[in-house]
Amino acid sequence: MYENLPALKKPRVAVFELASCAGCQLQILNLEDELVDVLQLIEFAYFKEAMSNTSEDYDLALIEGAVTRASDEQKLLEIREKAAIVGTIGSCAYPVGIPGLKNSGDVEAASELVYGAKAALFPSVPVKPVDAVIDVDFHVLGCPIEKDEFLHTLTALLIGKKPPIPPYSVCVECRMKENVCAFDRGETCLGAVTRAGCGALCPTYGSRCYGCRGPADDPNEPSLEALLEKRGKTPEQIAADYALYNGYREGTAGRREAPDG
Amino acid sequence: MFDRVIGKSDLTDSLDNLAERYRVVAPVSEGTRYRFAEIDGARDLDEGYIPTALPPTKYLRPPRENLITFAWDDEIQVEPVFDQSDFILFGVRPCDLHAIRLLDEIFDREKDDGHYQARRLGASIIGVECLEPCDEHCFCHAMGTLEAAAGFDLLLTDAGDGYYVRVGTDKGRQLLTELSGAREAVYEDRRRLRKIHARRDQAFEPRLDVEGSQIPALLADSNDSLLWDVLGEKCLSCGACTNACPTCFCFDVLDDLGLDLKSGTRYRTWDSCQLEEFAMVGTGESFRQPRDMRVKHRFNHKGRYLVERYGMPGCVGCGRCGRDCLVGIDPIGVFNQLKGQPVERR
Repeated sequence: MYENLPALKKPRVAVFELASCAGCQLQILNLEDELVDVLQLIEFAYFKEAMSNTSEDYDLALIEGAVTRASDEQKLLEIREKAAIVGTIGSCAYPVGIPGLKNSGDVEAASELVYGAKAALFPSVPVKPVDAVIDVDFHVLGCPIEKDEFLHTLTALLIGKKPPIPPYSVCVECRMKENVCAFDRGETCLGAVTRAGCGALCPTYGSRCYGCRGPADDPNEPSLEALLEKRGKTPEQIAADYALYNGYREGTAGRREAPDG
Repeated sequence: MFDRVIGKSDLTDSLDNLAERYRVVAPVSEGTRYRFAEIDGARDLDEGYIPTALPPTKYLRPPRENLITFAWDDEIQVEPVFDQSDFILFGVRPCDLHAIRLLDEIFDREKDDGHYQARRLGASIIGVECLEPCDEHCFCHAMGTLEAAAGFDLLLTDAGDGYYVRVGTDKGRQLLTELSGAREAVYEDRRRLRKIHARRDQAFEPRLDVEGSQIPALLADSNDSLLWDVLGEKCLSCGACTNACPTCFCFDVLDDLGLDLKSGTRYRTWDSCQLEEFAMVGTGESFRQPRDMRVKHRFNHKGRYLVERYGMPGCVGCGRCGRDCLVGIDPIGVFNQLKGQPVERR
């Protein structure tokens, strides 16, 4: 990843949505103080959440959402063909996010639960992250994405630099904020194996890390899992904890490597 | 002749007055944790504090510190950023005072780091001595850091009904005028202080099976210990230890580019030898990639390299790293295990 990316000069940007809540697209629109400046740097060619004009002519594709249908894969292949650079935004696109929960059980049963008797009209496949189908040049992580991180990624791409994604875990940022550790509050947390960059947002506001940004570069999962068991978590609970956001990596499709870079 | 004695309520009043006129940071409690934070008066202070989550050195080298701003149109403009604002750092424990001495040695005397020097000049440091061990993690006594010899402008010792006040610097002497109600210390006060110190020295039970002065040699002999493998398997590489450490000083330098793509800020942020990327070089290789090597390096840097280079303790025995480690990597246990039986691999 991040290697030999072409230099972009006022690129035409397309924002696509697969299975997701559209919250990451909204985060882009929530850049109220910066949007005018952003539009000096890029031009939106396709952004259904924001505008009705559409164009198939774009340089940079941003993909939100997980692959849940066979037709999604076809769409992604087309996008990869057209765009010089492809990035994902949000947890559904990588590591797989909430849509990945479908992988915890039987896919057909999930279809029936949602669509009832009409399930056959909506063919569904096991959920995949975007980079399981096409090569992805960068990820903007989070559920939803961080506005600042989106801007930093954009400016990095425009000057031909590697987008600044921390390789280390959420704990690093959490400790810097002097938060009381979730484990010290008698709770458990996935921060020790989850990639930082969010500023430990959830633990800072009294919650704990659910792993929405996927694994850090160098997670010591066996050690964290031993700790979770010591704190009374059952194997089923630990698996379910991972599955909330990391259902592709941890679920029926088996483990896969963290993105390089 | 500069030493003073001040009654407890007089100190409270003095702190209230100081907080009205200056920025005063002091330990405050937050549930089970303590941290240094700005206070409005003595009532915000929690006197029963044990070492804070982050050390007070965060005011001398903040987790994120702007170094320069830059911009270019026709020509490149670079402005250094120095934070020279005055503040009072109240309630610094002897272990942290020793850490400040080490940082002074590195950033002031050796490196001439203007950003550190500016903050250091702005700081007036009022230490408070420890008279009993804070919890099972601290081992300052063994490291020779229970006694604060320098690093403070004023140093307070609880003497029951009041505080004995020692002066460390000229700045501290000037600060004395802010202590309303203080009187000059006399022989009887100094005698009492000696007794307090004798009692204190009894209160700190030895926790290390090795003399502090022998730790560099112990580490040099332990290069091949299997303990490092055991610790490497446990370590989460979460950086809790290095973030909490008052003598850790490594940083990374990064740029924050504005949306005009023509201006921005260069800043430094705390880095950690426990993170995989720390020892990674431009071509992608890391010369300290295995986790056990990173753990071993941390203990050697604290317990050996810094001692050899600066002649002062690199670990001040505050116990923060052991207190924060989720998987129980505690320097007391590590040093004692290295000293004791060879460790069998799990």
